[in-house]
Amino acid sequence: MRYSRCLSLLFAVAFVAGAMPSSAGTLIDVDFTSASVTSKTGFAATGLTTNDFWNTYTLFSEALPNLKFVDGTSSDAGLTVSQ
Amino acid sequence: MYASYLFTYNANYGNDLNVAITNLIEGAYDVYLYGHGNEDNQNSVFELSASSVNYGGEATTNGSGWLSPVWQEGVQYVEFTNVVVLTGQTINIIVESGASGYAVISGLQIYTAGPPLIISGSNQIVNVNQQVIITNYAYSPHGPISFTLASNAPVGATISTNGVFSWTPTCAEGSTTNLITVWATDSSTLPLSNSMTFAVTVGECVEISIGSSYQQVGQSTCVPVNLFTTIPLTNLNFTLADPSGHFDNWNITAENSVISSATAQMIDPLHELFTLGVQSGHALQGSTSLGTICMDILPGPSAFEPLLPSNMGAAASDNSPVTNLFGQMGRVVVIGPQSLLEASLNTNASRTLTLYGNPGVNYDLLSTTNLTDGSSWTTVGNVTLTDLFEVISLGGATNPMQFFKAVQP
Repeated sequence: MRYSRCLSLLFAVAFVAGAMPSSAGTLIDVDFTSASVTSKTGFAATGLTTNDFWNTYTLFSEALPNLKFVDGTSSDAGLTVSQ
Repeated sequence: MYASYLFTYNANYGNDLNVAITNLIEGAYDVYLYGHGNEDNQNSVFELSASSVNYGGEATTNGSGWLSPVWQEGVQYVEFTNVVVLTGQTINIIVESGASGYAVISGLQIYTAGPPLIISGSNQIVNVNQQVIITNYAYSPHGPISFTLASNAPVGATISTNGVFSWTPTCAEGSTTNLITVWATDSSTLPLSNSMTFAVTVGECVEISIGSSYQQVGQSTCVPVNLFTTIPLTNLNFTLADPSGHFDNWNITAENSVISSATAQMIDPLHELFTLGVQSGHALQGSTSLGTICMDILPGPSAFEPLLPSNMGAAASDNSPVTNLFGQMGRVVVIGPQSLLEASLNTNASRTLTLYGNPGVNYDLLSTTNLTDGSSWTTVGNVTLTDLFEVISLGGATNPMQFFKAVQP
């Protein structure tokens, strides 16, 4: 659970006046499902918060461009599935 | 996740799923792959590659408990770590059927740590000559992390590879605010760096320096007085001690156009107070000469007499408190009936003796390596002074410890 460890460090930083930490760790989650939109949110093996966004890859769909990070912002990454 | 899933099924175990992840930013990734269907035997085997690098294959367990949210590696998912992706490269995942013939993928997580997270101490306010130590920490899953300082760090500042910053500001760095940038670099295949900046503010510095001289007893001598200050000053005072009572008739002569008054006042027979005032609208600032202090040398034995400013006080032109005052010691070599011998090392580590005494007097120079053996002294030279001192070069050191004395034959 690397992200949860990272999160605890971020809380620690909040109490250090004058420090200017930064971290650009990113996570993308994808749920492969037959549903049009997954109901999955939050953690699996790793995660940041219980509200982590999961992209939906629907069975037999086309390529899935601009996967979103767990905070809901778009990335340039895309995903394709083929047989 | 696991409520449904993507799978192929072929009774002849022929079909695979190919998953490609494109346009990732350059970095080292950890990839979590979830693979199982509803039934206990619906596990998967994953093979992962990026560009031409194959990271091998891993399989989830073919067994019960697939819908468990416990997320155990090797049961509900497999993990590929430190998958290096360069710009334009694609992560390719082949989902193969497990023993049951089902090639199933139900979820995917792809994580990159990014540069190290740096945590540092707070901004600091320090005084001149006070060491500041700040221990920096950084987090990255790809350790160890090494620390360096940016090139704009002040002279003398250091940081250890494990993040301990150390710096002792000098007087010249007084009244400055120094932004210190610390870099942390991880040990990933593509090393990532991050930086953070903190400020070290150095208090003011006022330094009074007394010069040196040499003179025979019964004569007068003068020493220069210099000032370095990082804040504008409107007046200044300090005391010189004469614990051996060598001096009398102290006086100070200002040699700085902005000084309006300069007085010497005896506090007691062994202490002299010097006070300097500045003309209205002016201030003493930076490195400047204040003037000279002169005194009579009373008859008595020879001595190296230190002159160390103490009990210093000053007023800043903006009325801010001046609390960081330092004195640089000078001295007077008082030449009485006895000779004085001073040892020193030149910059090339060769030994030098300086013999002080009265002109026309002849001295034997003796040396030994064993002070406990009075008979071990040997004559290494003879000097007849033509001035109040003579510098004698001894060449390079050949013994770890050697003692010298000058005596009149």
